[in-house]
Amino acid sequence: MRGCTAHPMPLSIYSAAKAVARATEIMKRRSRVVPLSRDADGLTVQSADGAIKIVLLPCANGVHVQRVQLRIGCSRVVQSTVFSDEDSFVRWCDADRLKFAYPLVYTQLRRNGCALLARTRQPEHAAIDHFGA
Amino acid sequence: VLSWLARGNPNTLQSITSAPDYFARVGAVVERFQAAPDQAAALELLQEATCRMGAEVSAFVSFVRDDDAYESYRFLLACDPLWCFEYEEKAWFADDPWLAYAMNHSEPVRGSDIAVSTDGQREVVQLAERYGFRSAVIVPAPSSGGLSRLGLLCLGSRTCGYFEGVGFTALRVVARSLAMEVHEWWIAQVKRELMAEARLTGEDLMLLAHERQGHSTKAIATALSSSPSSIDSRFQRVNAKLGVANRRAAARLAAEYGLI
Repeated sequence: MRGCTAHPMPLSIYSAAKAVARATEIMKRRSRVVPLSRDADGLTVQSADGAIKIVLLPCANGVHVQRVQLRIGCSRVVQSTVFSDEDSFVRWCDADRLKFAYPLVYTQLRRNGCALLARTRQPEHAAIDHFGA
Repeated sequence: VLSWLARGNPNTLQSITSAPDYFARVGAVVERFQAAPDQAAALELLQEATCRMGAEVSAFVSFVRDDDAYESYRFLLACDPLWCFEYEEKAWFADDPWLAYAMNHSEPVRGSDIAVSTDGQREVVQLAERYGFRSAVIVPAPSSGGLSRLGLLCLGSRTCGYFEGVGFTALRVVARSLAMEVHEWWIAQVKRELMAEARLTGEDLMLLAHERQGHSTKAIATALSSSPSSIDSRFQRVNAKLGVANRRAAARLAAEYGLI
């Protein structure tokens, strides 16, 4: 009877090659990063497929981070928090499981986030009040 | 404040809330919320209000169900953000007893007053305890008009039973006003984002308002002095702008975010 065999049919060379090509394409897509954008709304790091987008913005207490994760056709989760030191920021980056799927995004995020935090620690930045007062 | 966060609040809730200027001090921060220009400023105010109220950490969650399948969660985290990763990765939204409470109630309560019956719910509460919400106050910010959107402010302390004392009555008054202000600010922020991203025009909104009222294509065409086929194609453009499948979902989305 079809569908009741104890051992599944082995993959043909053609379908195995197709599976490898598909996996490679997924990895390539995830490796692509949209070029970093800087504007008045901050510095944005995002994946090419739009699944993850992180915006960094210097503020009075450090760096404000907004992380937007899109699960296509399912949900949108936005996290907003402020980091005042590099250690907690790096710990946060390392804890995100999406770093395995989007390694280049997280490399960029870590590098740029740490650089922003280092800049906000400088005295001239520390003196700026977030509301411009 | 930083030493509080590291070691826990040394004062009792009663001693903080019985200060003669307690309401004025918290109110001075809460009233600035609507003028917050961005999320960084809003978070700063949330942190300040949290400390002045006598709590150590807080998180504000805004939830909107765009249609039957699509949900949107937004977190303002004045606490350890790692909590949110664990929460989200395990997709605990469905098991969260505090969120479930907020969906059906409007009164602020202590976390300990909310019944926890399943293993999943217990895990959600234990996770919150690990991240600074050992004692917690849950403050719902409901919406009117049968909309799905709701806000939830969680206030926390690392000290067990911290919110169980007498000061809770005063705290719930200011916590409720903070939750409503944050919720209103958040919705206004999302509304601005949506208008800018989708580039909706006044005519688009008028169209969506008609759809929301249940008007047919013919009725809308008559009201707007247009042809039914033109109305249909305008709806298609609006659906594409909002990234939804049909006009009903577009009108619902616009209503949820306060556009119409």
